[in-house]
This record gives sequence, C-alpha cells and structure tokens, in this order.
Amino acid sequence: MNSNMFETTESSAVFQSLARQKDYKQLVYASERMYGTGGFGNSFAFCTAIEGACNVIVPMRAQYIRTILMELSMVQENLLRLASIAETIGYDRLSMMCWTEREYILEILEKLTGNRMMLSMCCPGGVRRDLDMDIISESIDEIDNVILKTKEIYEIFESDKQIMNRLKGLGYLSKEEAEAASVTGPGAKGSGLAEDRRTLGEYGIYHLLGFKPVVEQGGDCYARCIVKVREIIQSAELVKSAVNEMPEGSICTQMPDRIEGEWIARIEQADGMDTYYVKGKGSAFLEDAGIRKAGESNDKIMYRVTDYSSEDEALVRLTLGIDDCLKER
Amino acid sequence: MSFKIKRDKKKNAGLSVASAGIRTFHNFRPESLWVFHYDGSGCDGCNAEYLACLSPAWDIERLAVRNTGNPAYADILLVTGLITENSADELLQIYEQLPEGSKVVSAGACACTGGLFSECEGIMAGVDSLIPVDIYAAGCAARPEALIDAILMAKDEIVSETENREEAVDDE
Amino acid sequence: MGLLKTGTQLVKSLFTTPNTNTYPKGEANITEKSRGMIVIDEDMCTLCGLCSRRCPAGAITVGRNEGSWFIDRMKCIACGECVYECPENCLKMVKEYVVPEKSVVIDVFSARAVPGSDSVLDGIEMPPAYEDKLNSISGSPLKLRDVQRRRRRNKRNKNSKKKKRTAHRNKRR
Repeated sequence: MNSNMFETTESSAVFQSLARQKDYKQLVYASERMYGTGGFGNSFAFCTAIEGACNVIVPMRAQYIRTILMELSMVQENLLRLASIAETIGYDRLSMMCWTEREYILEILEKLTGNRMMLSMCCPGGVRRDLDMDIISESIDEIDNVILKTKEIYEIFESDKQIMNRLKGLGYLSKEEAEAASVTGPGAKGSGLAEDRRTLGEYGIYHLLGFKPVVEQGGDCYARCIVKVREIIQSAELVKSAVNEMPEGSICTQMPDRIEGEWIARIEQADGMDTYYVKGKGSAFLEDAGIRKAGESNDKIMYRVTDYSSEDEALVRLTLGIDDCLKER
Repeated sequence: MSFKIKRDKKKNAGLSVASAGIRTFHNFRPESLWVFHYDGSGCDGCNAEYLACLSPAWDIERLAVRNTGNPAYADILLVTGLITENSADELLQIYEQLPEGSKVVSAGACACTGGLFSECEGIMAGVDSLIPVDIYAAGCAARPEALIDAILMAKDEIVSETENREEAVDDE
Repeated sequence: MGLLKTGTQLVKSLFTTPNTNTYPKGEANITEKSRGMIVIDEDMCTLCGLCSRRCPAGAITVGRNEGSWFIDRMKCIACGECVYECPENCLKMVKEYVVPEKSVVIDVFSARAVPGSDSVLDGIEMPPAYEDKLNSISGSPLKLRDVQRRRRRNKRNKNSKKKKRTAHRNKRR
C-alpha cells in the first residue's frame, strides 16, 4: 500500500486504474458507474469519445435513442437536485413533489431499458437494445403530466417570497467571473452565459431539434434554481419532439476490435460539462483515459462565491452542482 | 493498515448508563426500527435509491421504519456505496457506536463485494471485510424493493431475537 | 391567496389515490424488460468461458473440470453484457430481482450431476478466487447454492398452492 492511496480513489484515477484492467467495451459499464444518477450521460460521453477515435459514424436511430434517454436522465437528475435544494431551505413539501415526479421518470426509464438508473444502453457504435415504440407513445402522457407538475413547481419558485428571501443574492457570481473561470452548467447559465455543449452539435441530434439553452441573468442561487426548473421542462419537451421524428433503421454499427487514435468528448450534464478523454494504440485496451466531471471543475469557483464558514455553503454547492461522487471521503 | 479494527464491542460499553437506557428503549419498540444510513464513496446510485425509499414514492415510514441521524439509536446500519480505505475508519467508528443486537445491512454490489471496482486501488472489497454483515441486498443500483426486503428481513431477525430474550428472562 | 392554493391542494388530495407504491403488500414494480438476474440453460452451455471473460465485474466463474457455472449474485451488476456475448444463446436475463440473503450467495449451475446424489454441489469445489474470502475477518460465510434443486422445489410449491396476488397498485392520478 502506498501513501497516495487516498488520491487514487478520485474519479479520474479510478477510471484510469479500471482502464488498465478492462477493455474498452467493458469500460462503458465502468464509465456509467462513475456517477450514479447521471450515469447514462457518462456512458454516452465515453462512447462518443471512442467513436471519435475510431472514426465511426453512429446510425441515426441510435442517435435519437441516445438523445431521448439522455434528456430523460437529465430530467430525473435535475429533479433530484431540486429536491435536495428544497429540503435544504426547509421546503419539505416542495422536495416531496420533486421526488414524486422523479419516480415517474424512473418508471418510464425502467419500462424502456430495464433498470431505473444504470440503463446500460450505450455501447460503442450505437445502443444495445431498441426502444419499444408502443411503450414510448404510452409514456408521453406521463411526461406531459410531469411537465404540468413541474410548471407548478416553477410557479412556487416564482411566487414564494420565503424562497426568494433565502436564495436571492446568495453565492453571487458575475458573468465575467463565470466566463473567466470557465464555469459550466447552471452556474454559467444562471449568470447570463449561454454556454451549452448541446448547441455545438458535437453529439446527439440537438441541432435537428432546434435547441436553445436556458439563460437567466440573476447570477445567484435563485437564478440557478430557476435554470434547473426551466431545464426540466425544456428536456421533457425535447424528448417529446425527438420521439415524433424518430426514424427507422439499424441501431448499432460494427466497431473495430482495436482502438487507434485519441479523442475528447464533452457532454452537457445536469450540473455542467463532463469531459472524457481516450487514447488507444492499436489494442482493445486503452493506453490512456481520463475524466473531468462538472463538479470537479466547478469546485474551484467555490472560494469566490462563498466564505466556507457560512451556513449556506451547502446550498451554494448544491446549486452549482458540486458533489462528492468518488471523492476521497 | 492505517486503521485498527476494534471488534470488541464490550470494551466500548463503558458509557453504561446511556447504553443501558438505549437498550431498554430498544426493548420497548422491537417492531419499530430506526435506520442509520451510511453512504461511502462511489457513484451515489444506491444512495439515491434509499432516498427514494424515504420519499412519498416508496415511503418506508408506513412500515414503521424511521431514518435516524445517530448511530447510538439505530437498530439497522444500512451501508451503501464503495468503502474506501479512507471511509473505513468512519464506518468502524459508526459500528462501534451501534447498540447491541443491531443488524448491519449492505446494499448494492459495491457495498456487498466491491462490484465493478473490487480490483481498484484503495478500495475495500465489500463491507464484510471490515465489519460483520447480517444481510446482503444485491443489485446495481439496489432496487427500492430489495432495500425494503432487506430492512424487513432485519426487522424479522430483531423481533425474533427480542422474543427469545424475553422468554429466557421469563424462564429465570 | 396562499390559503386558497393550500385549500385546493387539500381537496385534490382527498379525491386522488396516493402516489406510494404498496410494495410488501402489493406487487413489486417490475416491468417486462426489467433486468433482474442472469440464469443459464446449463444443458446448452458448452463451457467456452466467454461470459466470464467479458463480464465487467468478474462475477462469473466457469469450472471447466467439474462442468459447472458459478455466478456471484452479490457481485453481478446486471448489465447484460454476458447475455449479449454468449455464442450459444444459453444465458437469459429474467425480470425477477435477487432477493436479499444472509450471506454472499454463489449460484451453481451444473449439467453433470454426480450420479446417485440429490445435489449438484457434491462434486464441486469453491472457485479459487473465493477461497481467501472464506477466511475474511467478519466470518460472513459464502454460500454455494444449488439452483436446480431450488427450481424443482419451487415447481412443487407452485403446483401445490397458487400464490394469491394482490392487484397491481392503482393507476395513480
């Protein structure tokens, strides 16, 4: 045992040590388990990186399926984060509303893919299983209900004076600061930066769906919460429009056995930009692999927006999307 | 090893008055369980599933199960997530504070055996390499049904043990 | 205004069914596609060992000498990679999840039962990977479980008494 072992449990180091043991197809499942609630996004990012390194073009139907699942998992993750924010400010009823809605999304995900959180749907070159169109068209009603309920939550956030008193002006981050520190996710969007990886058309089919990022000007925790609520509605609408336009066709292409080349994939998650780096040298095992999670890159702005002694530190942490997943703990 | 394993619980029963009080308190409510939840490192999936159990969607409070923040009052220690070398110390401290007769439940593949991460550096292969585990709930992530099953299984054990103890006292 | 909202919510709640899953009483919330656990058709298996090599968690062990197939239920992450890779299509993902157990359970499937014995476990040794686990400090025992015998017993039980099942929880909303 070495003295550095506590550092090795951080996400990137864990992923690197996994990359030494497992080949790239097994590593997809490992990448999914780097972050539980946003698991699908991580496997999506990793598969995109592998496909980029091998110059493989993913079939259109697989892209649609990936986008639908990605947005559904964004909805549930944003609801989870809102629930914990609401509980922290003492709004238990609001928190319970979020939990209830999240459960509907998880049920849809289980009906579609077979598991509530670890979907295991992404594989390099496409997706593992096809989606059942009957089940999707059934679950559109459920998604509509979730949108209605989320609008109720939005109303509560917009009208309640207690919430405004608690959250407004807390953890203020100006547009210039956010830009300089390259904050991503709700932190950037709440400060008026229209920064979203989905607009660039690097992955998925967002450019076909006419995607525009949500932007709020406040720069404080309240603005970030509003961004989250509006993103839930936006993601659910994206799912609906993607389902309508879904083409027929194959869902997976053949992948080479050996990886040659390197690539960086960047994907927008509920809490910001996740980066995956892969490098292969003519073998099924990757020579190098790395992750940078949104929480880790947003963490460095914390000293600017809060003095750590404050009671509200946890709240700022939650709204910025910083968590302790696979940290040393 | 940077930590010491103290499995001798009787040594720590030095806070005799308090622990006796807690034990009596336990005997009065054998069927209402208090759960202390410890989430190690790892992906947070099982953690979110347990939180979903507390939410209205599954609501384990209808089964007379309550979440508590103090291990000294807990009947069940529910461990989820990866246990790293760093969190091992914390887990042992919590285990030492548990009252006698409480059960340990490990939920999820990572907590049971280490799962996908079992061969990584600095990660313990399961909770049972540190402390004795009574009930294992499988799954990645452990389904709320599996968590409820595990907690009810622990409850059955505790209830039967309490009854046996009471019978023994009556015989005397 | 706030009072009015609370009032409407209260009246609404009076006339709608609760959102709670009634699990131990009602049925588990399992769908047709749920990935619960892996089972094997041991007569079709050729013991090629591809599943154990492809498993990301290393939960599967193939004992070629004894003709048996082990799966560590507590290590399996139910990803379905082995089902996808199996050349003989003898692995299957069933929707029933693994129920909690009092020990780490390793299910053993074997096509070659020792003649004259009821259990397949008689001629089978623990896979070497698990041997040091047996001596772990907690003393939590590993358990090899004969799945075929359990399956037979379940069949008998099913024939004798059919389980009464409560209706699936009401359609909410």
